[in-house]
Amino acid sequence: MIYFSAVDQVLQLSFWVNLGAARLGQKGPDEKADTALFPAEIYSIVDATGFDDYRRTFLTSHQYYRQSPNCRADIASRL
Amino acid sequence: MAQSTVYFATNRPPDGPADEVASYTTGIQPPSDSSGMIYGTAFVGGIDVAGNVQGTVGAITDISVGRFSPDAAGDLADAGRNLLVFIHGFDNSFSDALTRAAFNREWLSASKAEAADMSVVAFSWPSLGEVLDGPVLPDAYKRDQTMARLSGQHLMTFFANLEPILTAARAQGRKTYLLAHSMAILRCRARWKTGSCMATARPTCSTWRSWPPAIAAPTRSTSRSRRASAGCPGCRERS
Repeated sequence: MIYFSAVDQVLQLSFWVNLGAARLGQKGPDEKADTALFPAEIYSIVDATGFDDYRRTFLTSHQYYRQSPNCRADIASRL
Repeated sequence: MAQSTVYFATNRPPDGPADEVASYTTGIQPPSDSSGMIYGTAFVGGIDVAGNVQGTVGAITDISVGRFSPDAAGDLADAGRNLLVFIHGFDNSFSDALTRAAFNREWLSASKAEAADMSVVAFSWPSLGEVLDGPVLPDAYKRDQTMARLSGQHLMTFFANLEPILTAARAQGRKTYLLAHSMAILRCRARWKTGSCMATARPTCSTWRSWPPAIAAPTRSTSRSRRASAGCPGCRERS
């Protein structure tokens, strides 16, 4: 399972600190729509941008996987 | 309030008694020598999933140098439930690593999904663990990146020590899940470069993937690991 979020502010800082190197956690894999590379029976690639059921700050935006009840439920449901 | 047991390994050198959480520093053991890594069992109390409260570390017991103690290894191999291996990201003190591992175990368990009720094993690498209200300082971030990369061999050794435990658990029908958050993935990559680590995808945020034996074994043949890695497009992605 791969979770990514476009509103993860720590990864936005990382993008700047690392001179423009994009992080997988921001947009997911470039070829995520390619089912030959990422077959659905093996990969779950989840856009977590919409999980907003938590107090989102600079730091917590990077911790949504454990801060957001809806994201937590999503992860547990995929095990 | 829930309580949780966290089995752990760390490459942070303690500067005091190993059964005291404050002893674990932000330094790193020699990157090419894993023999001094500390393994132990921590008890975390005061966890409140609904309130997003991580709790605090109480007692630390069963300290062992270089590998899990026989008691801890036996507990994990015969846990009667699945196993969760957690590797934290940047900005985690040693205490944070343990409490977050415990919190992760508890919210998963609270989901009531049978597979999600797991025993948890944490690996803590020497992140500075500076908790700031404002933006993280770039120097602290880059320092953590360096430490993450230097921890590659320690991580491989941790996996190697874990493998027989996981094998025994699998023989009883249990599964293992790896949660690698954020900068934790850099540590995996440090080993992928030598073809000796897992082939799990390496997102920068969160990866969950069941851990089948063919790719879990750093001590298995390198060629096998390379084949697994080559077949994983996530491993070819950017960091």
